[in-house]
Amino acid sequence: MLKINNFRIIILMGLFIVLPFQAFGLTLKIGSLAPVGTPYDTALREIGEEWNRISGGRITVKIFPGGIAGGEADMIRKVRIGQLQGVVLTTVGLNKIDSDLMTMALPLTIQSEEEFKYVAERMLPEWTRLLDEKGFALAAFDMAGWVNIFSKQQVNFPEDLQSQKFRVFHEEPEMEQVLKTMGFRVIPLTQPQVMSGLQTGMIEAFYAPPLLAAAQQWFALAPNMLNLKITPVVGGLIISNRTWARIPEEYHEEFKEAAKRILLSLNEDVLETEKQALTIMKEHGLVIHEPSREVTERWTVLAYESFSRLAGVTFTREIYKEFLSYLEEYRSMND
Amino acid sequence: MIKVNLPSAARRIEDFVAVASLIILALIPTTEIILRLFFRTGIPASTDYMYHAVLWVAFTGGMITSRKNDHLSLSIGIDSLKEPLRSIVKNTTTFISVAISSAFFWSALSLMLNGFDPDRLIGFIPIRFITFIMPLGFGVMSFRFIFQKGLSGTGRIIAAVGLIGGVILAIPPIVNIIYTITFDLPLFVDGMVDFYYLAAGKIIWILFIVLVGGTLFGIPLFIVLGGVAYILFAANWGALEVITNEAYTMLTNPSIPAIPLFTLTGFLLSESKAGERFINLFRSLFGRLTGGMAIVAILVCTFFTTFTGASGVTILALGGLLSYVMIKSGLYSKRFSNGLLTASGSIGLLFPPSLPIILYGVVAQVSIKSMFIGGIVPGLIMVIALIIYGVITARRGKKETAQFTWSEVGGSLLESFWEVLLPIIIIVGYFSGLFTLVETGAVAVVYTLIVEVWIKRDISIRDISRVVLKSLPIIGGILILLAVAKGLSYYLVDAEIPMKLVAWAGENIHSKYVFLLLLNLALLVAGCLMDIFSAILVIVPLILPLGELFGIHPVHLGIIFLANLELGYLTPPVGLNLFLASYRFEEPLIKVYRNVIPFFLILLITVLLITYVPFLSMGLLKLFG
Repeated sequence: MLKINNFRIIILMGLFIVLPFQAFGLTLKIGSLAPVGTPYDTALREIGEEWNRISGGRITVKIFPGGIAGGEADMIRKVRIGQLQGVVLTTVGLNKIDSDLMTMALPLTIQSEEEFKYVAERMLPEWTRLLDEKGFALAAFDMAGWVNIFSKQQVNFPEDLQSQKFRVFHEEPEMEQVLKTMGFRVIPLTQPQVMSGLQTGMIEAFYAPPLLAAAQQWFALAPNMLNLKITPVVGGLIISNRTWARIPEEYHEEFKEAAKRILLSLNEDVLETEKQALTIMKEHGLVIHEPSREVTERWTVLAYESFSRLAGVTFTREIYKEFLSYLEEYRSMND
Repeated sequence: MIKVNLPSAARRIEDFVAVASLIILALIPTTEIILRLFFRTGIPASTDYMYHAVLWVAFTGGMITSRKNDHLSLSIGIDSLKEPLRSIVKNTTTFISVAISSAFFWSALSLMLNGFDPDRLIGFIPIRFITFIMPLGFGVMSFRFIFQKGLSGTGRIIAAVGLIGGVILAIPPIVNIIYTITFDLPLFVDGMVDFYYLAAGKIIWILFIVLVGGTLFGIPLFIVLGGVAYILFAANWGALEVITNEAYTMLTNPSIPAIPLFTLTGFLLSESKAGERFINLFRSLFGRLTGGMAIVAILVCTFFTTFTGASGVTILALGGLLSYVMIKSGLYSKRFSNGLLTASGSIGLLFPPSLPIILYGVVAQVSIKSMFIGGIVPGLIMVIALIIYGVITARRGKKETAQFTWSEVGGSLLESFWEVLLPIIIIVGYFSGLFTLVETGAVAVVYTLIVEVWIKRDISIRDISRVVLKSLPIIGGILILLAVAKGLSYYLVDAEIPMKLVAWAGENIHSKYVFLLLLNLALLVAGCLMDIFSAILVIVPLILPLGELFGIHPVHLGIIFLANLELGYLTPPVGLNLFLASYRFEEPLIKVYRNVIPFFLILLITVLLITYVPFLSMGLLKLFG
């Protein structure tokens, strides 16, 4: 008996030491792929500072930028096991949490920021629910910039791309499979492999936001950019439910509002930086091809064909339909 | 009867699964190439299968490594001890090894349950089935520590108590496991977890010293590195599943399959008579020259170490033969020959498809191809430096008698034709963009198999599994080491140590050359304390931002790093090649130290040259890049 009592006392003492420690503050470690100094990274840091201010210093945000905390799949695991408390994900990672989230950025569907905002606002409860079921809270969410196709040989129609070896992101086996069935010659490569892949001719084309193509100098070897808005660059700040619950309830809405406010200007910042990057790239040989109406149509038809194969397999048909109906609603309102 | 046969049946299953995983690993990319080139299609989810096959190779291999008691470790300390101290030390180190590896077991089990989406599939296989190999592997390794040979009855009991130590070390993961699979626990459990972290923070230094000190007394390196990472996270309120998560991340990295594949290629070559054929070929070419035999030995070593550089296979497989050939030529003393061979045991490290270069590319996020191109000239300088020393030494002796005849060259070239083709296939296939790095590795395995089994018939079909099995303890040992060292590497990131180091260096070091000098010194020390793979994982993240600060190109930094580490293999007291040479040439370590000193100094000069003349690493890259 005595022993057990002693044991309890030790634990109680332990608790006394621990409790004030926890009440005193909470550090959120948040991982992101955005390199230091990019508009994305700056925005994330601003959110961190804002949260710290709102909570009167009780919440501190520590950012692990540039992928030093791992790739998106790895960071998601780290959030699950509690080594990170949050992570910024693009659709690649969101798709890994729940493949229905893939609908956020299906190629060649959303074509303007306004469309995105309209649809996203209405889909948000659904997306939030999907994430919540998997144990994550969506603290912030927006789009910033667009993904385009870059290639060695000029690409207009889909066939032009089918004859060139096309790099896909190695963390997207689903996308790889879709493109394979659509007749593209895809090669999965990691980011550091892309440059040498272009040099040796292992790949001849890739998709990326122009900022990345500029920063990595890839455009020099694939100097044809098709100015077709393939997908918006979508990012979400995800916090584990466990951590979100430890943040006092009173801050939840305020935190979300602050993040939303900061992200408002992000898209503009990105577009502004992108414009500068495009000017510099053009000086260094980049040729931007504007798609004709026919080109856009052919790509869109191809994309919708592939979605009809994916719906019900990779993502649920209901969510896809819901998404499309909002998009059509918006377009008919603005016609 | 059943009791007796169960372990052997389990061993057979283990062997079978390990060999099968490795063969699947080679076949997936090969099939992919064929489908891509001829049918413009591919295997669904092939990359995912391949990455996870590495996980199985690593852990089944690691289990076999444990069975053979072959995990990389140093044991200079224990050899010098007398009974009863020796037994006490041995029992203590075994206890620690059991405690740490069983803590890894709990960490891996919790990761399996909590880290992955349970619905996720790899192709059509559930992720939990695939990742189950991780706790299984660490669990089996723990038991093998307990039942290893040469442990007394008491020792075995002490070792078994290590399992309880493991449970204590793993309180937070175990609590997480219970939360996941059953019910809510009483509140005091949370208190216990908090108490655990507080206590860990208090006693970390004791654990740290015990572990690091234990290195000298035979605790396997993977236990030390993984254990250090584990206690560091424990002392800093980290999630302890992070160690096994990093292991998973490391092993499923897209470039990592190349490591087991090229190691297997090197092993297949060393199990065939390819070495002898190469010696004959180079002898017919250079035998007539003064110092010809030294050239032969260095070139053969270079060739073999490009495949097996960091695993020491070259010294073990060819050291005896080459030593014999050199001494027989009458020009070289035993001391010179063995010194040269010890020094050449990692000489090919800078040439493709060197595994450390691949790993550096992975860790530093630098193009592996650029690294290969950058390494060519520095690698040649090191080879040539050794050759020059060999030639000068030979001139002091009497003239060699071997004659140069075209017919002999033709004959030996014909004999070794298929093997000479191998590096050509690798270099052309990889650099032309025909194959990815991993595919090149798979092609090398399949090609070597065809040559040695069907063309040269050095290895019979039945022998294939035996040879593959023989390579597994080495492959498993390397991969497990890599896997846990990544945990330590992530601790540095988590504690933001690189950032702090950069801030410190920015304030205190004002010259690039001072930085390089300090780098050389630090790496030399690191090189003789750490194996090259762990060093890449642990040290590269630290020096990369420093390199950036002082304007050193990441490729040049990588070559400096690897050349330095190559030298580290030869640096007493604990350079790896020194141990292998001592074992292979049956000479005491002290004698081996003495043998390598002149070679060490020569290579030291080349390393300094490579460090301070960036053009050597960057020239070719600028030309082709």
